[in-house]
Amino acid sequence: MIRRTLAVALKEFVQLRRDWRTALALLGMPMVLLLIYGFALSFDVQHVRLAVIDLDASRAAREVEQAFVHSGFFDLVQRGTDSRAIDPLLDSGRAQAALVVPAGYAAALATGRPGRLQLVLDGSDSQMATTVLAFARQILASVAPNRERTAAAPPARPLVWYNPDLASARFLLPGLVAFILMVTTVIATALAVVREKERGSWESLRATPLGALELLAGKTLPYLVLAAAAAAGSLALAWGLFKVPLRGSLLWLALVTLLFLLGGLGWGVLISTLADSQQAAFQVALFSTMLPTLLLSGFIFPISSMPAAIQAITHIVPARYYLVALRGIVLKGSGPAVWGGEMLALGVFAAAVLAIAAARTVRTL
Amino acid sequence: MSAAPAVEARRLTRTFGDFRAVDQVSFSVPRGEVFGFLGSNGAGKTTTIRMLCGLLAPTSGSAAVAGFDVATQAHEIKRRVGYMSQRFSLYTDLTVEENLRFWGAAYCVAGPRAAARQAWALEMAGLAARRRALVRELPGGLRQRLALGAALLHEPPVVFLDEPTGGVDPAARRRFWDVIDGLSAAGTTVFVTTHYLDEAERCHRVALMHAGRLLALDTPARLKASFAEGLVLEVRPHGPAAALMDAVARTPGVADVSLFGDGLRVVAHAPEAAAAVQEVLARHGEEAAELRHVSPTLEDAFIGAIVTARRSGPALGGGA
Repeated sequence: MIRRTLAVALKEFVQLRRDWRTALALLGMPMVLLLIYGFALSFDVQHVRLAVIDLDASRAAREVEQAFVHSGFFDLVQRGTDSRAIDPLLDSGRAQAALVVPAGYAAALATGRPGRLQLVLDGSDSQMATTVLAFARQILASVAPNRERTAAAPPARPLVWYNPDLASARFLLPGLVAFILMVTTVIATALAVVREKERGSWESLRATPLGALELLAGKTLPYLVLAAAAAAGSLALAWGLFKVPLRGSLLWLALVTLLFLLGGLGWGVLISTLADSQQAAFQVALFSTMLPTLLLSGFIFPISSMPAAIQAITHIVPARYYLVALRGIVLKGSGPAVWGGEMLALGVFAAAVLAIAAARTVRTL
Repeated sequence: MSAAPAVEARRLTRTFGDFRAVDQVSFSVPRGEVFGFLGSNGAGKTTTIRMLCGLLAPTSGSAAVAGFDVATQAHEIKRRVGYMSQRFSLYTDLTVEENLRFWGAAYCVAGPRAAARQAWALEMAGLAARRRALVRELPGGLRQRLALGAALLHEPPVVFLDEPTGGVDPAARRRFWDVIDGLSAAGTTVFVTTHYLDEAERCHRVALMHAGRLLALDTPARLKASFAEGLVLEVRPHGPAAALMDAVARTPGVADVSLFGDGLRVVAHAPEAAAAVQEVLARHGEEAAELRHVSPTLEDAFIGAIVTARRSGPALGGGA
């Protein structure tokens, strides 16, 4: 049993080594994608182009302006004294935000009334606008006159744990790792089995005493090893280059990742029992992994803000569980007490998919 | 030779939906025989072989290979048969040696026996010097012989060869068949399908299959004698033979006419057709044309068997 499984695995390894482009793609593609997306995919807002329209020309107005400029999030692109300049600035995109200090701002502060400021934002990028608004509130809270106004109740000072500067890389990279591993593992396994069908070798393999399970295990073992290496490389890259911390146990990380990869392998084999051509297998593999992992796993969009029906669907997306455990281990250093349920779900998914795939292979054998 | 046949099929049937791919086929193959399966594409040859190898369950009827039932003991059968499919022979991206090692392991050949059998296969295929060559670099003939070697690594008592020599040049085909003769002499039963008549002539017995039915089963000589003797005529006219073709083809009792050198080759349904052909020739001013009976080929026997079956229903149905 073991010997024949290893014979199949060895044959697959030799073929993979000879087809080194595919092997390299399997191993390197996750890391290349991680590099590209890691740099490109960022929700961080910096260097927001700010125009200041100062209609007050007071010391207080200058103080507000300086607070914005010195915050580090804004680049001052224009100063002016005419509020009609705002429209063309925002329209042309030369400015993304405009701060208007109305006439009488300093006078109002001097008489103890609240000073009024106007912030005009380009809302076409709502993500950016929301973030800028939050920043602006924080900045204004720190401007002296306002602090006096709220002296009775000191302003809340946000304290962010795990990701203190809210760098989106820390949040996104674990998701990216899950996404890339899922897509490559499923495609690689589905193609590996369907390739034998397309060549006609499947029939010859079936005519030997090789059992269905020996065949499946032998065929997928090399891809599991390759996927595990790609996973280790991707996580190392996230840690080394993108400064994603690794706070938890490596052992748990390896175990959870293995369960996740096994589920992917099973899914790939299952697809191979349904598809007869590599092209069909590729399309099904891509479609069934890419969109769900991208949209329904909590990778980018929080599951808690999805409609109930969609939330229900996310329960069959394995990346959903992997992400919780991965972010937990990597960012928080938490243990199985926190994400034990997710690990169990990954195990159940892997076992179920592998069992169905094996049963289907035996039946179609 | 033991009394138990190597392969035995009893009313073996396989349907795919409404299509009867194999229809109540019965036959028995003694050990050591080279058993040929002849028939056009879609006649049911490959489906029959797939059932006999335990790859496809029969819809009805039964079959036993090396004494094991194909429906219930497929695993036992897989250990005792070699199978060479028409679609695939070996992994072309592996070397000669890697292929033999893999297929040996797949057929459960281990230890010193594995090494000895691999050496035997290399020797048989004449590839000892090219053991590290990729299979894709080998010519078709060598590849087929190596594939045969791979299917024989576990020394199976029965080997199924599904069109093993497709696309192989005649010299390589002859060498391939020399190997088959050697296997048979050593007691291995060889079950082979082919398109080539010269190959069918080398089988001990030939089964003619058509549209899922077994039409006839006998030695090549007896098949020719019983289905085509006295039915094949050669006409050598004085004028151009091509001009006579249509007229001869329309003659009652004529099944097939073909141009043959400067003459015509006529296959008839019945011996009486000869006289009718003579009359037609006379009407076309060819009274002096030479008309003589020639010895039939296996193909003529095949056509004859189809004609006979059409007239009288299934030739060999239930009886074994």
